[in-house]
Amino acid sequence: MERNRRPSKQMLRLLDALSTTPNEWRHGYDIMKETGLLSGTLYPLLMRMTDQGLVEAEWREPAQPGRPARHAYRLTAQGLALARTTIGERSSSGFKEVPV
Amino acid sequence: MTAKLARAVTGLAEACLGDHRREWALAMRTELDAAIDDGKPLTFAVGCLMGAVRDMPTHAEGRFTLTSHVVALGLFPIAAMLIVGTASGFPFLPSGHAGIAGWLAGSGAPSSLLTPWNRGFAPALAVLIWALIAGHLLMPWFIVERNWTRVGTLARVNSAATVTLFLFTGVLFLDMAFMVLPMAALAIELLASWNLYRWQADIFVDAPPGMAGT
Repeated sequence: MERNRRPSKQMLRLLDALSTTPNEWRHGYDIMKETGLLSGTLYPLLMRMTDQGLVEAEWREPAQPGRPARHAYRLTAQGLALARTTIGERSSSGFKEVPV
Repeated sequence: MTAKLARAVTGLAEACLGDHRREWALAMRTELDAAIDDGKPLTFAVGCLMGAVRDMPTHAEGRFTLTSHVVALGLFPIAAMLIVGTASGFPFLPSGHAGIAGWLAGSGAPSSLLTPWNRGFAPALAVLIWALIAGHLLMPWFIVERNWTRVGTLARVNSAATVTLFLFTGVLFLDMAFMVLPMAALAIELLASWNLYRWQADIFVDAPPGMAGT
């Protein structure tokens, strides 16, 4: 199903964060800290974006031994394309992200 | 202590997400360790719970869970009506008013529904109606637990108790209008539980209701 709605402010923030290093797998809590999104906003957003094929999720071995595997996320090709489109649109309209 | 509370809240979030989002529930649980290390486990856990609750109406299992809780809450007033009714003399106690209209209006002249010849049945009838109320109070609990075996057993017990009450009301020449409330309560309860059972069977085609936890 094609997206017709404009990405929300929170989604733009997530797209920006994930598109800076598109090949890198990122953990949920690290994304929260980087974007300033709360878990109640981030997880439903990640679920929805995964359902839409914009984000892919994978279980990754933890950096610290003895810890359980952690869920990690990165943009799919479709998600990256959307991120670049939104960045292009914002730069052409003079939009400037206000840090939170 | 905060970490333990956060784990409990995350467990609640996992339950809200259900099988449909099992992997996401596990993801939240593993990320809780990072939140604990960061010293903000409760904020993280409460956020997860809020996100999980907001996600519930978007999928069939979540909608089913929300509806079964609403139905369970909706069944409590029915049991409450029976309790309040019984406390005010419903349906066989000697302090009852003449006829249902008089009982509802509270203006009818008090008269004993039980006559000297049928008064001996009063204790048995009182036990029966209290058993029926207990059955109606247990039903929401079993529905929320999705324990359909117990729901089925209780539905049969409640039906049998209501039919017995109905028969004794007729045999003892008591006012049949008083049976409207127990019969309506039973009908609503059976209809609601049967529809929820069918709905769950449709959602979990591969794991029909009653397979687990029975």
